[in-house]
Amino acid sequence: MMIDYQNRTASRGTTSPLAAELSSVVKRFTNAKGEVFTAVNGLDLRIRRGEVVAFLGPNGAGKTTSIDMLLGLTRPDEGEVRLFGVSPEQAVRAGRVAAVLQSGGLLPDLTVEATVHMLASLHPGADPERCMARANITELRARRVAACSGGEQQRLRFALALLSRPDFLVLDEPTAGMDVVARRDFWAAVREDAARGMTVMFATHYMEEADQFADRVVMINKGAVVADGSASSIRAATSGRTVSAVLSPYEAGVVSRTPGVRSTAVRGDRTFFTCTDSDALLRVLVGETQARDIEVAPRSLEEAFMAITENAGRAESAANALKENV
Amino acid sequence: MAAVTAPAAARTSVFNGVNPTFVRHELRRRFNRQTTIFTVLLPAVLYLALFRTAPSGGASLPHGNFAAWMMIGQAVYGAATAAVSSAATISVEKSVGWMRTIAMSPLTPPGYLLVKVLCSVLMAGVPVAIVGALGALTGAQADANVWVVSLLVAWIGAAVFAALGIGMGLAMKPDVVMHMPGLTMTALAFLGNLFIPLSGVMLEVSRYTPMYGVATLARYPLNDGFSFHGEHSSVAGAVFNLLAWFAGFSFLAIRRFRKSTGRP
Repeated sequence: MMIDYQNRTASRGTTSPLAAELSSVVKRFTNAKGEVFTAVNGLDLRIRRGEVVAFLGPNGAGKTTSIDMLLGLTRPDEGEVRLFGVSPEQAVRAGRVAAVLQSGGLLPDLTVEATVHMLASLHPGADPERCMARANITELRARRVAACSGGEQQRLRFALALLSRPDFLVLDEPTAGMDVVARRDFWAAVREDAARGMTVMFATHYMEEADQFADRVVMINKGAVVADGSASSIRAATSGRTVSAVLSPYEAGVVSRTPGVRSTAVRGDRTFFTCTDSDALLRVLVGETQARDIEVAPRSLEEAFMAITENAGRAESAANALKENV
Repeated sequence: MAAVTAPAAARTSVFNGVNPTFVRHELRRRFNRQTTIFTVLLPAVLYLALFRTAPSGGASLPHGNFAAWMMIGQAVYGAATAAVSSAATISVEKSVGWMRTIAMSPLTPPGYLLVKVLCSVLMAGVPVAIVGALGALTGAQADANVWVVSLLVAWIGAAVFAALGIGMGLAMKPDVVMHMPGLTMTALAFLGNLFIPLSGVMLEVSRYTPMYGVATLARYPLNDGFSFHGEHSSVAGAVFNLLAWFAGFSFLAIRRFRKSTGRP
């Protein structure tokens, strides 16, 4: 059965070109001691129909809170969220938006089949057997949810998200707990839907996933967007290696002028060089200085975040420049 | 495609999504070993143990015999226990985040509550039918209208405890809620004059407990409101008791429900 997204969009009667629109959204939480913590701090994000967007950020960046607000599960304290021009609750109840959430949401005493059929009954015209096949859980049908592995439960959540044949699929770290094969199959299934025009937004820790599957990468940190651009532009910002060594400040100054060194930072007795050509830098360190304990490490996502957020002003303008490119 | 996909605007009922398939799965979850023991076996066993224990000095009832009195009591007890059994499933649902899954479906919060109440009422019919059949087999005697009205009141009165079940399920952790509803119901049944004919001070205390209203109304066609010691209970008092507890339990359930989903 082919799903004709164009027709569906027309029959659902919306004209908004945006799948999602978050405008200056703020969410604060108060802990038991009465301290106020701002999880999302003025987030602005527009997602066009048909886009596949990766949502990246370190732990505690506000990804899950943002997704909860996007789905209407949490109300923002300030700002507004619109999906297809209507409120998240309306869009979710109408089956236009579906989500694969990180954990929970399944009844342990039900079988996989009962879970799918029970929830399918709520969506008019749902095809539970087809959704189970798409999520590759048909052989698990008789298994109780409690006996399923984390990856299998994640596939079950994916099947449930497909029931309403959504126009917009939101995935919160969807491949957590999946093995390599399951991960590959999962993304193949998502890609198939995206090719037919479904809008997809996924939160992830894995830069490779963002790289391989997203048209656009949005990075957030401390509850706000710090970078927004094509996967390749973000990759450029996160590429490179970090070389660190113990050496004197004078020598560090000399080395930092080597071509390809982007930035230098001193932490403890070590000096960290971020560079695009680590081989050239190593030759300089070994050949021309007294450097000891040299280490070379690929730049992690966290370091990329730090690089982007450290130069707040520059990052801001870079983010704006990237936004214009999208 | 348009025939299968209902436009968003067409979904106007607040009970949207309530359907037989969903209710059937819900009922299957409710009928586990625990609930079967408390809702089916226990009322039947208690009836068989107690239907010959008429108070000494002769139990005179205007429209039937003591076995009928006990049958109605056990029917009320069984129906109430069945109705409150939603507590266990709701408690699990809340702890595993099933509410979030439901919030992402077309089933509205009122629709969710309707499914719970509907299943409670359907389940409550089972012990009423079983105890009624046992009564007929073991010599319970009463006028025809007593059989119909009393058992019907026992069944419908379970709605009071459907509300209590929802409130308990939302308020308690799954490991606590395993035993609480069964024990609470059994204690309330003693207090509510269901197992042993109460009189004097105990009957006065009984008038304020949740099962008194349903029990008194269910037995009214049988005993015209008189206890075995001649004390009278009015229909008005019983109706007031029933409505007050129903309102109280519903308030608790709705307040808890709003908290649990973070919705207004």
